[in-house]
Amino acid sequence: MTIRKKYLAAGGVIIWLCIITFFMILSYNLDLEIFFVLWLIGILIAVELIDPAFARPSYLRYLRYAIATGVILFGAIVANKVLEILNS
Amino acid sequence: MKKRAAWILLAIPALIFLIFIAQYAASPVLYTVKDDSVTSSHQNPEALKQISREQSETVLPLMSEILGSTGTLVLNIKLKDFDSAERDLKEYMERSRQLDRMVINLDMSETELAEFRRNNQKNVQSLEELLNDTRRFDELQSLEIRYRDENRPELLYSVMYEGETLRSRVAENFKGYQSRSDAMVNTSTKFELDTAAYEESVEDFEEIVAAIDAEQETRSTTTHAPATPYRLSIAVTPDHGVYRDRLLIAGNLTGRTIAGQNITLFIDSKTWTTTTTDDGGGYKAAFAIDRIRAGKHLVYAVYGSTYSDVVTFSVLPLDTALTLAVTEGTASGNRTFSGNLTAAGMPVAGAPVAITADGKAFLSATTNSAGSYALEGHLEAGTYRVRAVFDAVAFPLNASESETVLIEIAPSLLESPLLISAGILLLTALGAVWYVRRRRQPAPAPEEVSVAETEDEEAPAPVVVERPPVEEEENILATFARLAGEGSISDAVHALYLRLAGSIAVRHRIDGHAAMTPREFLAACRSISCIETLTRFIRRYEAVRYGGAVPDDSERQELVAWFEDLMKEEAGSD
Repeated sequence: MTIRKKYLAAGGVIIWLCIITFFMILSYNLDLEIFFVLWLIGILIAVELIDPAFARPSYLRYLRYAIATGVILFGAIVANKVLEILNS
Repeated sequence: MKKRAAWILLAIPALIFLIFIAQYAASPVLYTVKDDSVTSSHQNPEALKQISREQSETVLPLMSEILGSTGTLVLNIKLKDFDSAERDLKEYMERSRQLDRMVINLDMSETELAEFRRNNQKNVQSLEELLNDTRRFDELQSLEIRYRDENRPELLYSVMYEGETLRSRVAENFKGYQSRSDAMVNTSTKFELDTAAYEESVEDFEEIVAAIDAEQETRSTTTHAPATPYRLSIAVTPDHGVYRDRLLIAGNLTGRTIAGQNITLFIDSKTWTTTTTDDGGGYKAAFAIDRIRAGKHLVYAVYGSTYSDVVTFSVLPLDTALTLAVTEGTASGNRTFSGNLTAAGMPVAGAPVAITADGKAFLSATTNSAGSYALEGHLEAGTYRVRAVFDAVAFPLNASESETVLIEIAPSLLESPLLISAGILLLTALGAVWYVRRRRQPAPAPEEVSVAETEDEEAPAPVVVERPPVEEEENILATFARLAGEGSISDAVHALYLRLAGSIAVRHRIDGHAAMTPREFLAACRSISCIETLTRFIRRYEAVRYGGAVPDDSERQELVAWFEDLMKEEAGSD
């Protein structure tokens, strides 16, 4: 069951990324920052949905480190945007 | 081995992908329509569409309303429904203000739209004057009737002269309104706006001028100068001038007593000054052109009930030059703005000068007698394009703007980019650490309840059934001995393992130990000091639990001894 959830989550994130790419192309606006932030949101939701209550599978443990790195990168993007606004 | 190979196969393309994508980290926008141009002379038509869509959604409906407002406003003035015209004027002014804000916010200050906005600003002024003048002209008609009834020819004559002034002013006003008409219609047509109402307003304005002309003509033919024993002449020399010129207004009083008489001079029906006649009845006064609008003006003299003829003079507009210099202010973030306003080399005194930052006026100053201004103002941190603007209708001077000065206000320490970035990064880092280390709160164990059914009680109270004693509550070694004595050696060693693993997991913060196999648990305990004893314990546990081995007494004692050693070790490391 856990394995099934893992693959479902991976599939869900891939579909989510495809949707983002589709709409970015549709709006003639390919922005890595937006792509990254939307990926982070997607993966956070997926992890919350598949995270079992009483156990922690090893793949989730490693994924958490990846998400934490993503959160720090997200902070860097926000800081950059704030500076852009202040300088404009 | 297979799994490791799969991981490596996955990691290599991921790494290559990350290396490729990293080069875009500095400029993460890979493609936008606006940047899609091979040379500076080309642009993707999609980008143009976006801009025009933005304009059409916000600005064009407002422009259309503005054009429509002029039609109803002038029509109401023509029909002399001044209350409705007043309401229309307020709406029209509000819409014009909205357009001004929009043009500044959308940064369209260099477009045709800006020209529309400038012309519209003049039209607002023009229509406001038209409303005031026609309303006053209407009041003059009531006064005329009253003075005729009261048979007061001298007052009738003043009404006639004021009517003349109003006629001249409305005619001048119309000339300006009509001159802007072509530019307004052309710009509106380019934006595909309906200009019918605006063009109608020009025609209605013309009809108003014609009606005022006709009425004033009738008034001047029917109003006769009051019969007095005096005659008063007037002349203006020269009949035109520019800012700072002096015009001589002079004349003669003829009659019985002419020396030392007070003559009142009116300019545009407003009392300007009073002068005294000399022995020969002559009078004169010098009029300095200063704060008076450009255009034609009427002047006449009055002595008692004796009126002179009406003479006119013209004030021609002069071009102005405005300078701006920005220096450091006295306080942090403050700047001092100073400069000069001159017209044909002459200083302009008492003139309003607005200081604008990125098109928005944020300070206003008045020039001194030397034509200079200086004031200090505060600006938030950022970069601004600052200009000084002079645009005052009260002066016979054309509007002017200074050169643009680019100023940069450095942020204070609290607003420092480095501090803000560090703060945001620290917050997100804390968030990331919390995310990695957080534990889910275990769901509370459901309480088992049973209902004691008794016939007498209608609503029996739930009875809590006590749970059987758990192993933690009794001595684990006693449990081990009991289970081993009952022949369940597998359960006995399992009880020992669970207690030991639980204790180590709590002490060393090992997540999800219950879901781990003994090997996985052992791998997670690599860093603890008594790893060798734990390894031996787990090997023996696996042999009994999974291998089905039945330990003899000495092996059981050995297992218990390892357990006790490990528990003591854990307690000692606390």
